[in-house]
Amino acid sequence: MSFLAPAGLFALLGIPAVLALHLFRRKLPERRVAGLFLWPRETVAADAGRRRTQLLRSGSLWCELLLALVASLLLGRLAFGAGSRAQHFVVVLDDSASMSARRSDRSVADAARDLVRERLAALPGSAIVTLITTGARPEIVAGPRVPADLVAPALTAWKPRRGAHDALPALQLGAQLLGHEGDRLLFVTDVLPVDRKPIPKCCEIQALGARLANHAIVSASRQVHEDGKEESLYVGVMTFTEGKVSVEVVVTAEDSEATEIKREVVELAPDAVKHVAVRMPASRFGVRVRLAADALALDDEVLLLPEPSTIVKVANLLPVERSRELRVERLLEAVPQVARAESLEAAHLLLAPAPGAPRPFVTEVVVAPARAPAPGTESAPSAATRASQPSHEDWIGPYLLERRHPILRGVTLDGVIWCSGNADVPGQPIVSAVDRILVAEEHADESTRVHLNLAPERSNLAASPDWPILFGNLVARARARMPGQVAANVRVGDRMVWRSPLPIAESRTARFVGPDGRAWPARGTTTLAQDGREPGLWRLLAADRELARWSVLFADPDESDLRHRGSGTIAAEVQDARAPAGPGSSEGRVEARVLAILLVLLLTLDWWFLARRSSHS
Amino acid sequence: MRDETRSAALAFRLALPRQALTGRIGGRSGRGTGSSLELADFREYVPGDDPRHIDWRGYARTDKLHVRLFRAEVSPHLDVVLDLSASMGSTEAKERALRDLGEAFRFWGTQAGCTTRLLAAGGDRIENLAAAPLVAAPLDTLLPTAPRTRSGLTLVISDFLLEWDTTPLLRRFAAESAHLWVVQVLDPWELEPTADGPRTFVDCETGERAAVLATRPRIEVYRERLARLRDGLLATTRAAGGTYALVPAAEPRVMFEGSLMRQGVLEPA
Repeated sequence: MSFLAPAGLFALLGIPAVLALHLFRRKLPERRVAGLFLWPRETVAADAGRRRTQLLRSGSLWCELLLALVASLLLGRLAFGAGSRAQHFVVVLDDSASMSARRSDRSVADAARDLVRERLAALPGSAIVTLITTGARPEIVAGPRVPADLVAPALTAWKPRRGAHDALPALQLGAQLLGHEGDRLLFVTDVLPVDRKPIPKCCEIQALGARLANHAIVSASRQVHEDGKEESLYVGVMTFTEGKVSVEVVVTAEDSEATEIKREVVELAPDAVKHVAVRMPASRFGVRVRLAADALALDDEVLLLPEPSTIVKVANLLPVERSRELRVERLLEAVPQVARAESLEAAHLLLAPAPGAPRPFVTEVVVAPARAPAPGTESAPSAATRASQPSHEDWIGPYLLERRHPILRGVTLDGVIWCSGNADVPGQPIVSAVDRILVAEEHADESTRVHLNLAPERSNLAASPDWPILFGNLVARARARMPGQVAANVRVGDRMVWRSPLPIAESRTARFVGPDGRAWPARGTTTLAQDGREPGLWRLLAADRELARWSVLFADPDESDLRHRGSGTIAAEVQDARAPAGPGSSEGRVEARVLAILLVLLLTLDWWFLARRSSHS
Repeated sequence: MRDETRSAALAFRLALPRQALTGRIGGRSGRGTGSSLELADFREYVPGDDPRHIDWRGYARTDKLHVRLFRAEVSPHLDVVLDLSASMGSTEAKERALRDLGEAFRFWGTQAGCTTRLLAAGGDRIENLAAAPLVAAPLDTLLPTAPRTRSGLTLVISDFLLEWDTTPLLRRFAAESAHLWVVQVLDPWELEPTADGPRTFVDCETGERAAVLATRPRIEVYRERLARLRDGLLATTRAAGGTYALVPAAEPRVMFEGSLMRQGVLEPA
């Protein structure tokens, strides 16, 4: 036995209400009698004015108590047996952007909504529903386990806009939510899966897509030239059709007049990216790139915001000789997006002969051979050890490289003779030779320090092809840790990052606001980040202040390609003998009918008791 | 007396007892000897006796002088004691029955040559029964305040729904009367209550209120108690040589014929 709508049991409060009514009840009909002493009495009410009397266990009282009980059972949807457990219907909606593709006036998502509504209407009244959208992290948008009528708002609000992703996690989540025989899992998508095996057997798949032609912006970027006076836009366009097409690309500025920057018709061959380059004066306005409308509107337009400055300012504190040995000046001229810092405080990358005070968002590169601790310090070697120990160590490899570390990207150290000190450098080892740490990185607060355990005058590192690469990686590392907005234009699914220390009061109110106005709390005080969940304009707000803006671009060729979409059905492999009943089924309603009949009988009986009492008064 | 009562009463008369009565000189044979024509006994002649009463036939037979003694003719007293407490007015039918019975017994008493008085229990003589009000206060005695005729006839009409024991009083009535009738008048509902659900019962005399659920089990309890009360009255009355009658309040003819005559209080006229 179970209650399909437990909230209805609040009607049990009617029982004490009936008791109270009978305790503090209306005046009973009076009868003048002689010889009252001969009668067994319920109570002695000596005075008029006394309101509460002992409960008379009359037929009317029992009827009304039973009425309250039956009414609560009816409202609570008492059910027995299999009908006592509500059927659970789980719906997984494909949240990828291709579901927004339109044919005529209807999108695939519209058809999906209609299908789900149809299925919900066919459910028994006691059924419960869970609505899940797919994604790298599936999201339960309605439920879990709510009545069908509570799913409607979430279904209406659903707008599929994600990039290509695997729907399997959402289907597995849906399958886990199914508990009993009779529960159902429905996956609504726009293409039938090629491989059915990974999909849960209990899942029914409905594909509502259609093979459609589409063209799309698949890449877009905006770069300011080094002189800062001009910038370039690079837009990649593709067509997903059977043959060549001509597509007009329109570039406009987001100024007050929507100034048209460029209009160009490009010839597109299927599956080939055509790049459109636009050169324009550096602007602080956003730039919008549009294609003609087609099946999928999401990939026909991008907004490119001005990117934050990526010039890394370098402060060189190395001695002149060392600086010359390392060819620092040449590197500063060769590596792009690098400039000399006007002051130490303005530097993003610091080259130093010894560790200094850590500075937030500054990468410090300490170039010096590591020495053993001086005599008299705690870990100083003995005089004998010191006497036998050479001051330098020369290494020719092989070197142990932490290849996943960003500063070693493209670095091999083949043929490099590395002369280090006779001690290790502190931090996480990145390059080692036998048991000597040659390169290490350590972090403190928001600062980064990279130790190069190197005597440049005795090494050939600076002359090797690895040194500019390593230096460029150090510059990139510094750039990645610069304060402020990391990148203003990101792809959907990528992270939007903003770095800068915020006052505590502001950090508590910091939030990312999406294109639909929905806010996401930004947790953290120095680095705030949020996944670009959907394309459009995002803002970072703290208190009432706007800190930064991002344009999340939908640039996903896999989703833009609608040629492989289609419709079809794959039934669930696991069939339940007790198939859910269709509309009009009596499942779960027999008990309600019995209770309703009992309710009417009790009402009639109570009316009879009360009528009889009135006639005798 | 109502016309209906009168017309019904004409068909009946009070069934007076056969034992010798006492009373004033009247049309009934009294207990003592008197100057009536009915020979009662003989005694020896003493000088001064009325020579007309000498039994000469007996002298002829026995040569002894005897005088004849005759029964005295008496007119008996009938005291009808009426319970005029409020309980007798618990229903209109019951009050009407009380007054009808009171008037009827006065009629029958008079018709039988009795000196009939209507007396209120705990009160004085009743001159006009029709106008006599019922007393709200509880009845604490059946004895009238007016002096009763000793060795007369006594008839008590009440519902006897009294919490106190009436046995001593009834015995006293019986001891002081030539004959005692006890007529218990009850409303038909008081005899056979109906199960009509929860009510507030209000005692007519005490004003006491009680919530009562008149269900079958509770009615059974009431009937048992009432039956015990009636049995007590019956036993006491019979032990005293009296006559007990239970009269459900009804139309006069029904009461006279159906109850009083069947139980020996009345006989056909």
